[in-house]
Amino acid sequence: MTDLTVRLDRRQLLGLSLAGAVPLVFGRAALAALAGGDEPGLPERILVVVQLSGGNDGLSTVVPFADDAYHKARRQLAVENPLRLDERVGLHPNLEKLLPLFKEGRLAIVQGASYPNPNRSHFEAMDIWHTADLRGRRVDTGWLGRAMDSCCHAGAAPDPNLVVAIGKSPPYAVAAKQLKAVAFETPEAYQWRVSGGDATGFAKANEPAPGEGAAAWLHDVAAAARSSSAAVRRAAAAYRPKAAYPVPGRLGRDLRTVAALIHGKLPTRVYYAALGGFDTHVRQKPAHDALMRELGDSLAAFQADLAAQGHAGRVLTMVFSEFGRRVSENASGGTDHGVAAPMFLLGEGAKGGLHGTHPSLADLDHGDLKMTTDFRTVYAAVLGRWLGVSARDVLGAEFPALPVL
Amino acid sequence: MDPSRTTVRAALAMLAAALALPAAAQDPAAPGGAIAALEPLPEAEWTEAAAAHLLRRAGFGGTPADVAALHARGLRGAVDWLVGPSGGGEGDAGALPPFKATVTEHPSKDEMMALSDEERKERVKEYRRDDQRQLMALRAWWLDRMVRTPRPLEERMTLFWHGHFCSGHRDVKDSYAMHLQNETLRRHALGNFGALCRAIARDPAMLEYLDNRVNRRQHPNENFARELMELFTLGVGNYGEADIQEAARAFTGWTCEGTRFVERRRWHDPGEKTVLGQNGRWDGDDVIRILLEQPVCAIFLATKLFRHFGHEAPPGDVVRGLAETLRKSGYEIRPLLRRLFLSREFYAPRSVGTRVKSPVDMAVSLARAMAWDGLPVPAGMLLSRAAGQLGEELFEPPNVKGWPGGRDWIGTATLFGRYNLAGAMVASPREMEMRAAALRRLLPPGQAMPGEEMPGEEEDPHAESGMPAAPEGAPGAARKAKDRALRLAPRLPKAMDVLAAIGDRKEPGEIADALVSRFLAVAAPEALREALVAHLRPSPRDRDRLHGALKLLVSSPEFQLH
Repeated sequence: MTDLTVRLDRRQLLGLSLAGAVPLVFGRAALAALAGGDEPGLPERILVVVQLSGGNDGLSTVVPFADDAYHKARRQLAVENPLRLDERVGLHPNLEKLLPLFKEGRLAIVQGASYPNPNRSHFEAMDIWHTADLRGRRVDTGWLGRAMDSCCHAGAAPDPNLVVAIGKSPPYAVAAKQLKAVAFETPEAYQWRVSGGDATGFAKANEPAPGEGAAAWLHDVAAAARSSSAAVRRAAAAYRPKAAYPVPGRLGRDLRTVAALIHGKLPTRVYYAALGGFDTHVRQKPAHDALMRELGDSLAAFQADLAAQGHAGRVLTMVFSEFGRRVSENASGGTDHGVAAPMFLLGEGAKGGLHGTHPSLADLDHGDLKMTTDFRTVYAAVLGRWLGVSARDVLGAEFPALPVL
Repeated sequence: MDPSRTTVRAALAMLAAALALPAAAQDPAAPGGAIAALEPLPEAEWTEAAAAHLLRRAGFGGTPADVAALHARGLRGAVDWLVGPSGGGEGDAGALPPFKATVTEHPSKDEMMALSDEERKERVKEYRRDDQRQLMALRAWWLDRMVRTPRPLEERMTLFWHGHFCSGHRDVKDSYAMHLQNETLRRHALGNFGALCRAIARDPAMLEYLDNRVNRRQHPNENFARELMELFTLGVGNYGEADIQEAARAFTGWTCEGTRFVERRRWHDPGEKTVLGQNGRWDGDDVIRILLEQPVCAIFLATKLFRHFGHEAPPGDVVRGLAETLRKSGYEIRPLLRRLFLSREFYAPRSVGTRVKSPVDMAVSLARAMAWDGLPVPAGMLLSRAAGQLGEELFEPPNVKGWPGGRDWIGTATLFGRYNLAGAMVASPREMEMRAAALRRLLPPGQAMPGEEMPGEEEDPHAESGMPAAPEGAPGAARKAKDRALRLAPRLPKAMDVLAAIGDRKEPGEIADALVSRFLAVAAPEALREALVAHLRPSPRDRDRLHGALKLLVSSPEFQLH
């Protein structure tokens, strides 16, 4: 694919001039943006984060099938018939629908992602991924929250739908100084729902009001909530997907909602979804196989849907988990908390293929894979090359962007 | 006393007087007496509205009868009653049910040693499940206590300290330790700040949360020493890195065995340390004494307390005056609060009705305003879950800085969440009965303790679950949550008797005004009043209409304020 310098839109220019950078060179993403992302008011680049909660077993996701050490360590759990990506590693067979995307160069697989002095507590490890800071929650904002505060609402009241998290409450990753992310489990849940409620009276009492104090501010939030909620529900109700999402399936349902909101022209720049159940200490195989099936089918359906609707060029999906799992399986047919694991970047803008090197199974740290890629170099790419914000400012240090985009 | 210490302290005191406490320095005979904003409110301005404000801020509000009774005590009487030893009660908060712990210890080492790998894993899993259940029960117990307590200021201060001396169960992983910390915070809630600091430095949950448990002379851990200065006593910028390192040495060996504090001699560094200019063979208590001797400590605490009870922007002289009161009393909390609650500034327009209620505050004060006599176990669990989803999960502050509070509570999604929670709480008796009937169909009486119906929290962070208070059917998780809520319904409190609340009023306008004055801290704007009147007009004394009006009232921007 030929790279090509393109004219930059207003937001990118703003981001670049703030960062003092020179014009960037984009690849396929830029072409796609030229083709369809220029409608006024629409976000040029959208990031969808999919969190695999509980610690995904990377060795059963991107399988080092050619390594004898793998088969020795995983006598019960070694994944059979992986889908070859190269002569050394292959995808879990239940991720079969991702294989064509990989072959077409739309799926980037980052190997061995972690950070120095890895933490094996779910919460603390997740906090580190969410804050992009080894101090975890000692930092009171998340990496995406900082990114949005720095780029996407220049001093003015931010659009409430700038960040949408599918879940009961917003993840720490989107915690910001200024922006409050929208969070809901289903679009229908995001509204005033009081049995026997008087909708007319409610609307009347929740209009913007004059004045300056806390009450006037609350009226503004209430009005924003009503319009934001209406936009979300309208988009979700009107949506007709052009791909079959797996049913039943939580992730497929949530990604369908994301596709609906993108198609419904919401101004959202970051969507956040999660799939739980990866903490497979006991009888891992059936559980993890099912999770891989749900993950692969949902992501593939989402990508196909976006492409059919004409949005694939401006959407990038990033998949991560807080840690991988111990190399050796345990006595309960499961695996315990480990360290390095793969990340996925999916979309037209992704530079498909394998990135970084697979961690060695011969050189372990207390039974765990050693990191080969600092996840913050992936964030740096997503921030700088996709969202158009200064990665240095958001990450608080210089991380070379991994060339995944 | 070491003479060099005395000299240093005297020098510091002089410096403080020169820099931080000009008002007191100018008029030592009447400390702070010249500060107009801290003058007591004139008795003539002690209205029922003022009493309602005091009850909302110092307690969790109440019914019109509660407000009238407080008003009748007069300003000084009311403040003394709230702040005094009875904490606003006629004596006996001991009549409230104590928390009944079901799990008090992790599985012991001996027990674990005797088990196979498989059994050990099972045992740990079982413990975690029991611990999660106990944590949920603990949250419900505390909310119930906030609703029922005859000493509201004590509970409010316990909640304040919970957000000040933060510890979270995620890190502590022991709900019994969280319970012990809660008891410690309550015991000292209105006592002496120094004593509270000393107790917290020995608190097992805190020792775990900020890692002092592993602070040894061979491997000092600075985490507790740092937060003690930055977040608990002085504030950032009022100490140096060297002070933290030296203070950390003083706390070496302060650790715990299970939930019992121990001072491990072999871990303690007995050498000399220099903390904020004072040199000696300090231990943890010495460090706390040195910190409290810093004038900025009183300023720091007075600022935080005024912001919590009054408003966001306290004038400098108000803070200095309150800090002076704090120092004069040797860091007793009551004299400061008494002065604050008496002051003109506390009752000023920029204070009254300008603060955003926290989710817990909103739920508890609504329950009290409706005269609920408590929260049966499942209701407390549902409410504490809902508060958690709205950003205030008890025993789980977002980080060591605690809840930022204020406008930070509000986003578009949480605003709807607050409306929906309050809307569910003001349901009519008919709606409550419908829930109960649905339950009886779902679950025959006597089957399964409702408390045990609550599934354990998943281990995954951000594991999803439904909005427990969602009153309407919805697909997926929300649906499950609804089913759960229905099952628990018979233990939900009785709906408010709204007809009794409006007395013999007949006109929609006067009924609306009665509801507004009971439930809002601010005047209703015209649009809201018109909406209430329009809703009531077809049949003003109809119970469902009245509950409909209540639902509108609690689904308003104004209801978020107190």
